[in-house]
Amino acid sequence: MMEKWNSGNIRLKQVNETLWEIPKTGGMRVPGRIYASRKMMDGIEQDQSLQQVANVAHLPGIVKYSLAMPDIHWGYGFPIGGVCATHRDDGVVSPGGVGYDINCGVRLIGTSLTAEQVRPRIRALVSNLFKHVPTGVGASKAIPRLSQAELRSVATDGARWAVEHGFGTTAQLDRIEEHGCLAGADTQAVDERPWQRGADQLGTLGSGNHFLEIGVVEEIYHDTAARTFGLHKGGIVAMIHCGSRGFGYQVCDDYLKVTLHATEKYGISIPDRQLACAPINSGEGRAYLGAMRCAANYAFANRQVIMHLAEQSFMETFALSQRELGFNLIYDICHNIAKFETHEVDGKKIDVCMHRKGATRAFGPGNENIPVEYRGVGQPVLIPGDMGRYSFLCVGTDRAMKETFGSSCHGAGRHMSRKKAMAESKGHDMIRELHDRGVEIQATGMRTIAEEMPHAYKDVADVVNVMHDAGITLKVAKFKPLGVIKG
Amino acid sequence: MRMEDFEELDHTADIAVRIRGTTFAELLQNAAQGMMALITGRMATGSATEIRRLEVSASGRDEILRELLSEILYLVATQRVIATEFMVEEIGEQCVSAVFRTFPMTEALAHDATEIKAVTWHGLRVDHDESGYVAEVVFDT
Repeated sequence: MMEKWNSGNIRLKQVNETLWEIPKTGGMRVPGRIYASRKMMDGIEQDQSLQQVANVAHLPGIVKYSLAMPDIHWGYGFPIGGVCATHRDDGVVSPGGVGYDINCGVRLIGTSLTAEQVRPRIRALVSNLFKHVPTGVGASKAIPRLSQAELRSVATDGARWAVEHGFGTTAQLDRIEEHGCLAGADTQAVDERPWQRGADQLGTLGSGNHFLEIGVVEEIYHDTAARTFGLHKGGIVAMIHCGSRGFGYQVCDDYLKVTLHATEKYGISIPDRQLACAPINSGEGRAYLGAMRCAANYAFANRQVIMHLAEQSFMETFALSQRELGFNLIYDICHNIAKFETHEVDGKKIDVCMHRKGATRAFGPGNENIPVEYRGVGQPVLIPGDMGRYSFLCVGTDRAMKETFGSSCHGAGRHMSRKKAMAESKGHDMIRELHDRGVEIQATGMRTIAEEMPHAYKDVADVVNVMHDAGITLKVAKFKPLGVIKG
Repeated sequence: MRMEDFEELDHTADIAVRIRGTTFAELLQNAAQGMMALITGRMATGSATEIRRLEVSASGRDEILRELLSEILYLVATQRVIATEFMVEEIGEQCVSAVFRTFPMTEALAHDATEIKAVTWHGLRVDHDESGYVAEVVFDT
């Protein structure tokens, strides 16, 4: 297998067709490992993301490898697509390993509708969704502004708060990672500012790469799993991608300052200030985890409320009852998170703090942390692509448990900057071009549509295929978008 | 502010910028004005009536820059305003105070706005040479 030095002076060793290793050098405590095809690696080498994989390997208590999934790209501190487990007893937690949009994640919903029913009404449906689900910068007022007491309940109860306030059903909670609520949320650890920033944003999508998409099941790769999830070719699904809005951004920003001081206080050496961290068992580490869980719970509640708003829009557009529509939560996953999990490493079970920054949990069949009805096939892994091509549903495997701490990729990953995408979109009527490809889009601003143009992203099929070929996740179904709303 | 005083660099996922100023105070003013232009997608205009004042303290120039921009972001996010006409009033080694005007972020301005989630620490730097000050900042978007 190939071995080379890349332009950033990173030594790269190919382990097999889908896996590369950065050997341990200097202050790295473990090697780095990146899942990618040879073709993808040529692109990955163009930015600073490999250096970031090596930087993460410096964190105290890191276990086994600093990992990156094939949608890896240049982030701040951690690469996007980065996975890092640190020992719960003597490791660190890093806010940069979660990111600003704490518990940004994806929710997949099945329906009883077919493409034949939806295509003729897609424009009306998109318009209705756009009316009911606030999008864009500072989007607010999806639901009446919450009192500070209610907001604190959202932060401690997550999706359960939403269900108790009429947004969905109790049964849906079992179809959400961690049942839609991270235990140990500490509202006392959240400063005044996140509450202010998140006060009226519950039930809103926000802007950037966040979206609500209506798709049709175009291809089934795994019959048993598809049946288990209630999917069939030609069926209609909805996908929601968003996170904790301003609440989470502010928690992360506040705690980067706290952990920068902690990094100095505990004498931790890091190669990038954005990797600021604190020992998990220190006051600073515990406070960050308590505050981060509040933001994660806000995000779970946010997606739960948006699902309800979307259901109302579908019912209104197609004049269907709730029962006739069959809006059925398939699964909801986080892809920016830090959580305690137990994993088997070198034959021993150990407790770790899993950082997934632009990476998805992908637990294999039989795992007790996934819904009972899914244990035969594995945890659903939701991997959205760009708004013009397709998205995928996969399942986690035993191999993921052995190699990646039960983690997989989270999306296509950009390969073009927003600036370049804006320049390339000049002279193009993106709405018309997407319409010609069978996708109706409504967005708050034209700028988002230009920045999020399909070709600004890698082909998500390449990303998903690497994980499939590596045996980390298996493809179940492919969805083609029919309609999208964005910020 | 000249074009080269706030220059967008190529960054795959986020927005990286290089900011210049003949003095550190000017660099801060250019950074604040440039960030608002990034958010609104243009040099936003409006009837700026309200005068506001901000004071930040931090332990170095790079941290002062990050703190100032973060404070403005927080204000924009929570008060739904556009900030403009930044003027540094006082500047020290570890603190700065600035005055500026604000006007409401209208629906029309919000439509074409870009959300900046935060001012990151990644690659944050402020350098000084004979031509003045130059800084690099990565915004999470």
